[in-house]
Amino acid sequence: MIGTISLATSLFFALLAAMAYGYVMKVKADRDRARCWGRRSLFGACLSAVVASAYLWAMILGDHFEIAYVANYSSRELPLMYKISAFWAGQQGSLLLWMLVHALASLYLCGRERMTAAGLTVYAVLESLLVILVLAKSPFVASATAVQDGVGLNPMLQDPWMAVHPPIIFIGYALLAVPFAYALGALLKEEAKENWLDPARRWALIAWGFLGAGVFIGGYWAYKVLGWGGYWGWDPVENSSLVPWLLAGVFVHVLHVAKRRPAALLVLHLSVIFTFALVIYGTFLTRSGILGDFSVHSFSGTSIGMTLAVANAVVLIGGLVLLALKAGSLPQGKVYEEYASREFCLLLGALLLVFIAAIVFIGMSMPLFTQLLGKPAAVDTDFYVRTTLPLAIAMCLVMAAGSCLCYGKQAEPFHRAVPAALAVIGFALAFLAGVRSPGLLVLAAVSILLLGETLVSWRRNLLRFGAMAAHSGIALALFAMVLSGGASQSLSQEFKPGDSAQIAGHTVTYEGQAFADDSTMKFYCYRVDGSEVRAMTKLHRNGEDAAREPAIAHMLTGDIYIAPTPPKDTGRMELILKRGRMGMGDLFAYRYDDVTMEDQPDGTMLVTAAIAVTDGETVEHAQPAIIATRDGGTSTPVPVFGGQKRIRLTGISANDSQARLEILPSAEEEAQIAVTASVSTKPFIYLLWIGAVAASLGCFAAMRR
Amino acid sequence: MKRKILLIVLLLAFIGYAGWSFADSVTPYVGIKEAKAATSSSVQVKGLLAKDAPAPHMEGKDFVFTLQDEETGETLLVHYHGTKPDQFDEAHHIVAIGKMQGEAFSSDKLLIKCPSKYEQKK
Repeated sequence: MIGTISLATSLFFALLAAMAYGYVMKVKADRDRARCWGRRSLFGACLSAVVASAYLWAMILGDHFEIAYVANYSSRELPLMYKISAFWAGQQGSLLLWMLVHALASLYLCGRERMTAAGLTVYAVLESLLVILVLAKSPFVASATAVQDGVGLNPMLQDPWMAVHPPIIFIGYALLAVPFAYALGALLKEEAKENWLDPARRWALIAWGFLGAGVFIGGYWAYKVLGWGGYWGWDPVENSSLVPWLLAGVFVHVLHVAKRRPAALLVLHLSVIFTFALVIYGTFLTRSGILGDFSVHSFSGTSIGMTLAVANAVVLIGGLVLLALKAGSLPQGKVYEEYASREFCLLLGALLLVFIAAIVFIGMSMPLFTQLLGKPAAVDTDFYVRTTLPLAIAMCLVMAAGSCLCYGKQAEPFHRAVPAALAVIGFALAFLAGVRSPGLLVLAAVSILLLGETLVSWRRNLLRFGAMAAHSGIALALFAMVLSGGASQSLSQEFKPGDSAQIAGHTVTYEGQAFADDSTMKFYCYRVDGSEVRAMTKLHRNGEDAAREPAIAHMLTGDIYIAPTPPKDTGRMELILKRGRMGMGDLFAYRYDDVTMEDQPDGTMLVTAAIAVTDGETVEHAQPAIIATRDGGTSTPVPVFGGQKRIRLTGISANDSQARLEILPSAEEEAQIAVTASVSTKPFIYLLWIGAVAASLGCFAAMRR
Repeated sequence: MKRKILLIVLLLAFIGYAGWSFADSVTPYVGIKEAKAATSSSVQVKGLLAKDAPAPHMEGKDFVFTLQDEETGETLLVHYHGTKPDQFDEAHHIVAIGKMQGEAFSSDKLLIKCPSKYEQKK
């Protein structure tokens, strides 16, 4: 109740703020009072958002499974860190988080004339839209049935990187609303560009930095946890965060042109409208369930699609109509004088970014467009690689040229020897590392050229520190993408414990399985050139695999990446026993004698079967048990005959006449099973992480005036 | 002026290249019947794991299994170039991307759709 009321209050205040600031913008009388009302309303909206969020957290931490969201994403046993992050594990909570960040930012913006009334009107309208989205898919809906324990957080997502990934992305999304509001506010009031360009630039840079860091963390997690060997799969969910990132890059760069050449303001407005519209479009695409059959990220179909589509139309059409109406008042003129000028390079670079964004946009939207036309289709990921490669090469050249040019007319002529030498070095390094694809070799050459030119321009004071860090980060990341992808070697084979394989001069030896003492995890242990690495598998309480992670050995030349696949034959077998009858296992015979059921205080039921086990001479009695819940149960294996076999109760028929048992080999035997693994090298992949971190930090450093 | 023309030509050339790549990599979403006719271009085919077919197994470097159309019941033998994907056993639906090669559907990529325990269907 408290949650829904807070949301409704928040909506009320956000609308009130929009009206108050709208009044300040349009009417001359009583401005100060209206402004005061606007500020109070924004505070009210923010306070309600904080209350709603605090309430959701309290519900999660207090195990209140009567709320469906808590039941779906949390459970009693979930560690505290993941209970906190369960807040944004599902879409309802993510949207609430987005709304919270948006509201918190408004507290800063409405103070000390930081933003005009027109800007704040736009911002408050966006806030209302967000609250409506949260209300349309509220996280506070009650569970349909009484629930004793939640289903918990997907074990694959129980990783520190995944705990911080969504909030970082959503901070980026939320803060992109600020430059949008500045730009539209400026259009509404036909404001002088000096007043809003600088704060818009700084907010866009923070948002850009967060969004980039979020995208990067997602990729790093995929590499470290998912075990398919890559960091980027061109999946719609990934693409939908990449497109706003690319377009925010357009905004940040065109802004520098607009500062000196007012005619670029039109492009600047367009870029910010499309950036924010695509933030919402991405959310729509990934959260509406339209891509269910095309994406590996399973989001089931939901009712929120229509609301999101409407919000998207409001932002896009509203922004474009306003721009069309006011386009006449924008300054006209030349946006560049000469080709050899920084303006021209900035604009050409922006155009290339738009091209990349358009390609990714078309690719990720294909399922939607073709579905509307009646013949669903998707594009192969090959499409993205083939088309973005030449663009990335052009991008590097434009960035390198732009950074050693200044605005307006050039005093110094271009020097050619240094860039040519750099390109040769890049080409040679990649070739020596083993890259043979011509396109990738060219990309390696131009990325090193870019890296060198960026550093030279920084020394010559043509680039600021932030831009230098961001640009060299991008150059380094591209170079690392070429090496880690283009020079990667791989093999796939079956390893018995003690078996070795040679790859790129390294020896990989499989040493067998090991189990954690509390049996929540097992490990596949490998030795790579003498140092031990382990691939972790998280286990369900019943001993089945819950999530697998690869083993990664880090070296100066890059990573050795080992992804074991679960063994085909685990030596397990299933027996169905009629009450009182014997059933044969491969070593012992089993008889199901009796069953007892006890209700537990926490609402579950303990089902214990009495099983007699014999090797033909002696008889042993075992009591395997299931803790039964409404939707299934969990059971732990119990050892028989000194651990020679382990047995696990997996089911009892409705009338108690049959019991289902799983017979497991001894722990030692299981450790000896042969395991197929794919082993690959990822040369110099750490340069990619370094580059990505530098690119994000560069954004924050560039914020300084 | 010369440079402007060069630039425009380059951009147009790129757009042409992108369009061609696009047309080349579109993979329509088809049923098993149409998939059997797809010998030249890639398609995505969705189905269930066939119950009364040989159990999924490795043949050399390929992982082999049989898909069954949910509606018509038609089956399709799939050779996936890789090892058994995670969560294959719990899969509800399987989407295979590839094309026909001889008697079997040769696939480089599988999407496994699970009846997710963690995202409950409404």
